[in-house]
Amino acid sequence: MTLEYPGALWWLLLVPVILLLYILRTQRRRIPVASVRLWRGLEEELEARRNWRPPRPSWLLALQLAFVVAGALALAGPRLLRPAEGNHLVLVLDASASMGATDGAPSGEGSRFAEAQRQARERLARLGSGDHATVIRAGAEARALALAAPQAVARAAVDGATVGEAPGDLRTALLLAGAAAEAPAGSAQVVVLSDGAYPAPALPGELTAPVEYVPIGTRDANVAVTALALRRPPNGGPVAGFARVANFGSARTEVPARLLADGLPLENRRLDLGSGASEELTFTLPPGTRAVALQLDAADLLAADNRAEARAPGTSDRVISLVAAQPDALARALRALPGVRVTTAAPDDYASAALAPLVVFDSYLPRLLPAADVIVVNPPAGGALDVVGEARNLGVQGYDQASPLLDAVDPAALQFGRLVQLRAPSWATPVVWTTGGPAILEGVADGRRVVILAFDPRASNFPRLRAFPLLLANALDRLGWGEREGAVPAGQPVRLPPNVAGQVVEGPAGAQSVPPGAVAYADTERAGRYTVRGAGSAAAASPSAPGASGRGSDTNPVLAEFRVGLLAPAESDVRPRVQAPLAAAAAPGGMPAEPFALAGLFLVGALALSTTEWWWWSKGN
Amino acid sequence: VRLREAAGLLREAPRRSAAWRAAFGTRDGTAATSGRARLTDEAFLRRLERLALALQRPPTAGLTGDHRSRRKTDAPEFADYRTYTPGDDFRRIDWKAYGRLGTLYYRLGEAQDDLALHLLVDTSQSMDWGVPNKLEYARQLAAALGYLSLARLDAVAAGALYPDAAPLPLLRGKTRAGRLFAYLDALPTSAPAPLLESVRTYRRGATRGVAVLLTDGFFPDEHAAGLGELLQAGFQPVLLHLLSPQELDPDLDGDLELVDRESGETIPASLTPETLARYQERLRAWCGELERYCAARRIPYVRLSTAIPLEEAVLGELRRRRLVA
Repeated sequence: MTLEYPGALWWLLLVPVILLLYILRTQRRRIPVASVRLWRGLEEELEARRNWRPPRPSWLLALQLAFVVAGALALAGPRLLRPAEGNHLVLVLDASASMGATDGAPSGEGSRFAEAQRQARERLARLGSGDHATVIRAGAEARALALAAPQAVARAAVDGATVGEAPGDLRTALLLAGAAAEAPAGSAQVVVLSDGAYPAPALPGELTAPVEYVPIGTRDANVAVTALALRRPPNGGPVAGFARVANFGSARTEVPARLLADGLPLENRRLDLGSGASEELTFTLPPGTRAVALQLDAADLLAADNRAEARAPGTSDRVISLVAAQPDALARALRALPGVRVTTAAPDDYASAALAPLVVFDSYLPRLLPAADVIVVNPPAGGALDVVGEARNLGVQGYDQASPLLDAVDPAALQFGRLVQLRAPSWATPVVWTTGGPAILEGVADGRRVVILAFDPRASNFPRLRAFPLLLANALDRLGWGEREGAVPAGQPVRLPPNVAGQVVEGPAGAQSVPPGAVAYADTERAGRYTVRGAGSAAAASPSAPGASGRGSDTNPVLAEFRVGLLAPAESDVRPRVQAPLAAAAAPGGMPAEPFALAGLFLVGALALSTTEWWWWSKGN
Repeated sequence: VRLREAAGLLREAPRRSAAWRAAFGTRDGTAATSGRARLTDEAFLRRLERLALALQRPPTAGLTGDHRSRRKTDAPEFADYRTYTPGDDFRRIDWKAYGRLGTLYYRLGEAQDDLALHLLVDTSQSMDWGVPNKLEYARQLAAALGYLSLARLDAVAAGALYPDAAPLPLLRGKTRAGRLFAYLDALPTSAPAPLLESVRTYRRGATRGVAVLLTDGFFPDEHAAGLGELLQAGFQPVLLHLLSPQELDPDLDGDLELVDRESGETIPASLTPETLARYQERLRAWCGELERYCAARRIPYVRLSTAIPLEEAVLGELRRRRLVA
């Protein structure tokens, strides 16, 4: 028997309370009698005068205690686990990048994932007609492909599964397996088909079903690019690159490495790597290089980690539109930031101006915000923000130290000569506030990120402080999505540009629509180049037709671009693990069973006991 | 019950039944019933008139009465008839008249003793308790016995078992019943007094006769001394031991503080079925001791529960015990 709400057992503390009430004597009732002569000395005087006495056997006491116990058990939600009929096979298919290694079968042919599928089919073939199977794919996102389904459905799910190019989330997969094993679908058995190339997952508790780990893979020869980073020096020199290549195999190997800049050979090297050794490469990119790739021409087991691509920083300036009647001061401050190009527009020309993905409004604000990330400075009344008044000569009362906007900024020294008092929108969070209201706010409004500086910088000491350019730089980092520099690790979510009307992300697996308002894209399981376009290209590309590439939708400009690579040493280390790394976390449990709720029975029992107790008490009085 | 007590006895007061309040009174100990019943049932009075005390009477001085006497007399052999009552000498039945009329007539002629009946009511505070109230019951029972004696032309006197109480002098004839009733009604509740002192005070100047003690037996002293005093003074004591149903079978439970109505003494008691069983044993032993004492001295003893209706007590219990006939 299990309890759904064990915390309700605290009600059992009423048992000693009731016993205490029976032990302690409350104030005695004074009853006049004709004479106490016959009552005198009926019990020991000392015992009679004591303020406590041992509880005496009493039906009322027994009924009250039974009522409390039954009530507490009813609230705790007891469930009787009845053994279910049939077998329930829970298959966990490791679909991480390492399962793409080509040493699946003992003969050394086929991928590890194909071998896992083959073994899964064998297991499924042993099931009877009344048995069920669950298939869980442990890719970058763990997902159940079939849940307590008949054999044929489970086999189809296994056949349709594909291996990914990102680290797998085996922990979530095991949690799903544990939950599936508790389903009333028969005697459960969890089978994990994996090469063990992942860190030992930490589970919150033990699984309730026995777990069998089936090791896949026989060899370990693999060389991988484990790091690729590009950096623009502060002095504005050429972009410097850094890469690391590691040999995870047990044999020494010699690997040709080709460095490509925008697809053209930049440098060729021959790396001699011992077992477990790694070598770091540094290089300099020619001016104007947009992307760089490092290609290893190695005949190893895993091809996914032989190539890494990265987006070069500063290949184009980040463009910012500044809308202001007097843009000089703010434009000067923005242009001082590296890699920033500022275009200005007067408020009167705002409607016809071509806006960049990041717009700064200074002392002007339209009634509707544009489809771009926005920085609002000194908002006037009558705009998109609700201005209720202004306050003068205020200092900082408090601020959110954890906000990235205040990274390296000390707002305590700020003095606001003129503060615009706003009725803060529901989507905005105050970052710096004064006694007269918030001074700096940020938030996401309908897919666009917004930072509000609710004060006039010209009427404050802000421009004279070092905090001013730092705050602007932080704001640009928060808002100016611009270009995603470097390489994005596979499986990691990527922040999207302002997304008011919806977007389409085109990647190696096809095009996928992103709904309006979404601020991140998480389906980065495949390595390669991803581009983000406006929703206008959605007609040509939908999630249901990943093959319908958005290549034909080039009429929509590319809003953003990013490169995804494996860059996961744990996945590149394809040495077969005979011992399951999950053994410590997933211990064999008891037999799975079908739960049968007993709370109703206990509740009826408690009510019956309560009624009996009441009747008994009424009868006695 | 303990849970309710712990909750401040909130529900106790409204749940105490009327019978409970009547039996044990309110918290200050006063009785909940105070009305004094009178003998208003005409049929009961008629039936009382056909009864007579059937007691061994001590001789009285001078007067001739309605009861057989152990004395020899020079009176005419025949004087009158009256209807036969059980206890009369059947040798005095006029069988000729019975043959003619079919009714048993008793020939009056020989000397008849006069019976002086002394009704001594215990008016102590312990009697003013219980449902039905013991003192009220004693008043009504004394009135009934007095009325049937007055109807038999016996002399009836009354008094309280309290030294300072003024006794009612001997009355004769049915017409004086009202005075007897008024006296009994007016008897106030008194402080507890030793039986010996009360008896000794009463018997001074009182005509010897039958002394009926209506009491619950809770005297400060030993009952033996008082009853012995009456015997020694030539009275024929009769002990009517009155107990309320709440004394005979207490319906109590839990932790209580019992308060003595007379002395105010309090006793903590945790009443359980075992405790109540011990109380019953003690009550039986006490009553048995009284009864044995009386039997040894040929003192009629009758224990009556005030739950028994008055008519049933007189016409049933006292007749069965041959105190009236």
